[in-house]
Amino acid sequence: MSHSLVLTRIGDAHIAFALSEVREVLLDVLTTPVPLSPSVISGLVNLRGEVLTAVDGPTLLGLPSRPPPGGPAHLVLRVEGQGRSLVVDEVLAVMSGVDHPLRPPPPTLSPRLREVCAGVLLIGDQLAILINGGPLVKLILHAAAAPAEPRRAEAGEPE
Amino acid sequence: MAVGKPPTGTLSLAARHSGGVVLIEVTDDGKGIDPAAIRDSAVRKGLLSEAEARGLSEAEALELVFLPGFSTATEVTRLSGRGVGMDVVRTQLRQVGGAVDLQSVKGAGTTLRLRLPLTLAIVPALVVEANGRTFCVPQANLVEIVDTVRLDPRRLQRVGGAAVLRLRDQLLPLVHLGGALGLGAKGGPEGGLSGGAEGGAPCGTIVVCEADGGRLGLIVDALHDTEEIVVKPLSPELKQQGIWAGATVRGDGSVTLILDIAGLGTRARALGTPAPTAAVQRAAPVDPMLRVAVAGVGQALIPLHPVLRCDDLQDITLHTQGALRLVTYDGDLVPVRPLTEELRAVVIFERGGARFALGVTEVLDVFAEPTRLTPGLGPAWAKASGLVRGSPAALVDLDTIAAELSR
Repeated sequence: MSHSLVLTRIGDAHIAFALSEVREVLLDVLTTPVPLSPSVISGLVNLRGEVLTAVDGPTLLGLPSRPPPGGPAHLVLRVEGQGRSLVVDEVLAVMSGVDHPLRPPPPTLSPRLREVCAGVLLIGDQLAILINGGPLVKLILHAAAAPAEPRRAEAGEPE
Repeated sequence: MAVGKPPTGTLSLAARHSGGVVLIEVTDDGKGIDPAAIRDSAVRKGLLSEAEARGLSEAEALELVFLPGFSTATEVTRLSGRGVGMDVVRTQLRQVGGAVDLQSVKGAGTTLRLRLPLTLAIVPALVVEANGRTFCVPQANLVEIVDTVRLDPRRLQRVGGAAVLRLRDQLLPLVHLGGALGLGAKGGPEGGLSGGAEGGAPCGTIVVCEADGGRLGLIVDALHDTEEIVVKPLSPELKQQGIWAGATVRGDGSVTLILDIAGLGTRARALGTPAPTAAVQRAAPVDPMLRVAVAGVGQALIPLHPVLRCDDLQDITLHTQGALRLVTYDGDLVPVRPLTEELRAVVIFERGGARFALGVTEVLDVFAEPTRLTPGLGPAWAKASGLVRGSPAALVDLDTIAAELSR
């Protein structure tokens, strides 16, 4: 099976997205943080006049974040209705005609990653997790709907 | 140059506003679009039969450029020639209720006309700054701006957990915007409502807002411009926070959030009301009370809502007329009901459209904790009494006092 992929890195993990699910890649993006929003939301970005909600990939997928000095990259995803951009540490490559077999995800993968993982690809000598767009969007909505503002715990509300 | 035209071209861009529509015209003086070339290309791509292509008028042939995948380019590069551009332009414009049309004269140039509806929500808004971030306050919510620098500090009262501003006839609850948004207010961790509660007057500017019939003073660090902003909707997960009316893209390309004043007010009230302790069950939201000292009695509670203002008698004159004591408020004489002999402050309140004053010893703070009150207990003017911070407090029966003073 041949894949067209956007290969990204989050922490040490290589994460691949089907090219058809990525609208574009933004670099050097100015993000406006949203006070009191869930931690999975990194802010709002302006994509040619369209306001997109940026979702923090590392937080969403439960991975450590190690962005390069130039700052993280944004993948604008094709999501019905409101656009969302997913923040990843780095976009490594856009590849077409990747002709590797898709292997099932290892059982040791974290449950959250397994939820969105379509399979594992060996690209070069690196294993990349191929993300399944539909479940990813579901995970984004679910994570963002989680009780907001744990950061206000210090606000003097003991309950 | 092959057709005898000068090597430099002119591309003109014109935009105007007419009848609720923005018209954008892009005109070049290039080689124009050759309808014959379009027909040929369409036939080659199998989009039309040769007979169909011949049957098309020039205008109809030009329309073909909007078909997905249509291109007359002989060379496909990474950027152009794939026949996607015009299709996308038309689809996007149609999505927002606009249109695009094309006119071209072969050899003379092409004009592209885009029509965009102005039905996007454009509202005037005030751009404010809190803790280094900017936010928009819709003008519709804006009542007035109060500069704290020029403000008589006595009009700012920090009472209990809540700061209030005496603004003409009203006590205006103050909210430190940065604090309410969890941006680490200058007023400390509970800056949500206390707005500079810790030391000094709240610095900055108070933006008096109105929403859902209630007023609220937002303390901000700075005011920027008033701008006409295009309101863009937020994704559902941010909408549900209830404190944003949307977002807008500013002139410099940055995104600024638009405050939902009604939602922010609700949130600030929720923050300002201390959580009930385990021992006391809160049955209903607690109405804030003004806590006053009454010499000889202890402390008294006055429902805050009807209170118009509090004054120290150092600042205003107490008149006497026989046994009756009066203060001037807003040009009117207001009768005073002293609750004690040690009369050092008055609390002016409104009942049934008339104004009355209570004479007290000292105004202490605003109190909004759930309290167990026993009805019928306390002085004659009390409706009920309960323990407040370890000592008895009498809840003033404003109706009785108003009736007494009206007689």
